Amino acid sequence: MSRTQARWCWLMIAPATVGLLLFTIGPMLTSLWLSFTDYDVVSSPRFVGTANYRYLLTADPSFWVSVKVTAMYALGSVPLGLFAALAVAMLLNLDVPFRGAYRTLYYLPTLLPATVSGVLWAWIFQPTDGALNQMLAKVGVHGPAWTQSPSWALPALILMSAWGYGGAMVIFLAGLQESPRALHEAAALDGAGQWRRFWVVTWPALTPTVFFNLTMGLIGAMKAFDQAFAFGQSNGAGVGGPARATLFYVLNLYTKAFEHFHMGLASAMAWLLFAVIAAITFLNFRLSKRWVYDEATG
Amino acid sequence: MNRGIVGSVMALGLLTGCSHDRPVDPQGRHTVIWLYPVDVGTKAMTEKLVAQFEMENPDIHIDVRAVPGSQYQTKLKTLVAAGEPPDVFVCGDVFFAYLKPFLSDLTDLARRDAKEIDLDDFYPAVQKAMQPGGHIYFMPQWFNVSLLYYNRRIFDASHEPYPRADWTWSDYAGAAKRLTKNGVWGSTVTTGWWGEWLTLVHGAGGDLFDPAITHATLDSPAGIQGLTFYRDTIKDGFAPPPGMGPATGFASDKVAMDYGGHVGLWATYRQIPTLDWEIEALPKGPSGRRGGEISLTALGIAKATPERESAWRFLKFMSSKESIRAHVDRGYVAIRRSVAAEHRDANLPPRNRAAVEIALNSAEPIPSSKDFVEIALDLVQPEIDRMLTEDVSPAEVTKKATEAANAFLRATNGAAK
Repeated sequence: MSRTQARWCWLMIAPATVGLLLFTIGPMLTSLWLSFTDYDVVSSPRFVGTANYRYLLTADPSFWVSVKVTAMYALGSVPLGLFAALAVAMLLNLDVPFRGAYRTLYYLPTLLPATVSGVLWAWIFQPTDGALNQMLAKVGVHGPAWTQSPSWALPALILMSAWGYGGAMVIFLAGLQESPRALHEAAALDGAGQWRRFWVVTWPALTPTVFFNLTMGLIGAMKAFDQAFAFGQSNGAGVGGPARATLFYVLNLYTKAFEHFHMGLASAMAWLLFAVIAAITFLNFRLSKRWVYDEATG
Repeated sequence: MNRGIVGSVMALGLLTGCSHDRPVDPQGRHTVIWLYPVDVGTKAMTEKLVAQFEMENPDIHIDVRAVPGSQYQTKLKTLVAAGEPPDVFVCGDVFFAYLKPFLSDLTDLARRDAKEIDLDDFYPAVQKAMQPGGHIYFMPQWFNVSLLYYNRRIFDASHEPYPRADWTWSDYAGAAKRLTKNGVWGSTVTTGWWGEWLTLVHGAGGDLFDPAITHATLDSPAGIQGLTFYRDTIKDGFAPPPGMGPATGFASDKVAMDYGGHVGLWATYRQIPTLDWEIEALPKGPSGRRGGEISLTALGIAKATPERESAWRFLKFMSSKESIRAHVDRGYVAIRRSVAAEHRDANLPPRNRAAVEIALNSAEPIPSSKDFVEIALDLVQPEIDRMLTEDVSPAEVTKKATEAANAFLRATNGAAK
């Protein structure tokens, strides 16, 4: 590369670099500094060393609860979402009339803002007058107090999460269409049934897509916020309630930062989350070598 | 020529600088920015009052900045942090302790205009609540005080005598048990905030903090007694478990009593023609205290405002008899005794207005701590939720909640005040 080309190169990437430094790296470093301070926004930050981290890890009654709630949500919602997305994608991959219309219809819920669906589902799960319990009552089942029960509020949110499978579904659909037709035909000629063809042909070809959706789903679950926020505000139990049953990690962070203005504690929570997401993503990549099919290496 | 223009501009700048830092608008009016929490029910009344004020004060323009009520504190604190606080904002409630450093002390103005604001016209309990530490930081428009609401139709149908001001907890619980039948609940439980449980803790003689607000005291025998009574309303079967009662609560006409209900709901109850409701002062707890709270909805002025005098004129207007009459017509309880004496809403329920005065005289202020809301909602409330929905004893709940609150106070250097 000539000097002129290099100069042009630096000039072209300068706006993005400046933006990254000013609006991403800068705030990140500021929040790292704030995580070692007591800062309520209106007074100057006061350096407190590792006190915020110690309080969170040893004394804050909500920290570990929100870690547990988020972990349980991720364990429940990610497999459920992947299964729903793959199942619907396989149906929509069939050669049926009005296929395009079905694909649009099944994708529509994803376009609905999360806060709107949060309010809608809070009504569906309402214990006495909600649509779900009224339907259950018609078949003789006494539904639980979903939104008001510490045992059932999180399962309600996990069920609600499956509603947003549209994004993963589209990616699965693209993966299914990439599935090698020649191998399917060869397997069929060899007498393999549909189930067998799925496991030996479709699934290996689909594993990179599953890996992508799994990684994005896990990161999304650990950052879950908007639906739980709207859900809590609409159901009368309060944000994160009842009894912290829906207190997601980021919801807890938001409350500390923007309800009570403990910016130091909130920054410390943000860095702990960053470390956990980085670790899980790294582990996910390492484990992927064992099960994700790579066409180059077989 | 140029020198003349520059000189004139500088002179004008000096003149305006002497009186106000913020320039007047093109109509020559001083602008007062009011951060207004949007409330669909009061929007029309508010707009009318602002228009009337501007008509009576043509040199002042009120710039109403509407914010959804749920985001009000976040928006206000963000503006304060950015060094751009609104001139006028809502305070006087539980957030006063936090906002105090940013509020202008209005005592000098109140003394100067003592005749006009007529402090003695406010109820004595209101006068006390609006002068924390003997200073005036805000001017109130209306107040909430905890009351016992009851459904006369349900009482009549069961031939049950109406609640009285000398009722005790056992009178209340006894009536509630007898009234629970045929799909009607004797009472209801207020969940999700401190409104009812803290009242009952007070009634038992306990409190959330010690008087100096240095440590939590919810695990005292009185605290446990108050929470036990609260839980037993459900355990004894006369109040529905959380979420299992009628979605509209007392307004459903299927609940005989509502303990500690909010006066802000009067306007709603009045719109339900079938709801035959009345009020009484809260029953006394074993300590002899009723334990209900008083909170004011008031307007304060930012310490950093460049329009203190104009903002003060707006505050005086919003707390004037004229404004209070508009609030009463909207369904609020009159905060000025002279307006209450006009009986503008005498033909509307509730008729037992004496109960309001009894409640006011026995009402207790919310702890004056900037951390109260966080401790009550984020540290204590989840434990109370567990007590109501799981088999967790009040003693266990108060122990855990107190430990959490004290750990928080230690982490914030015990600076709860």
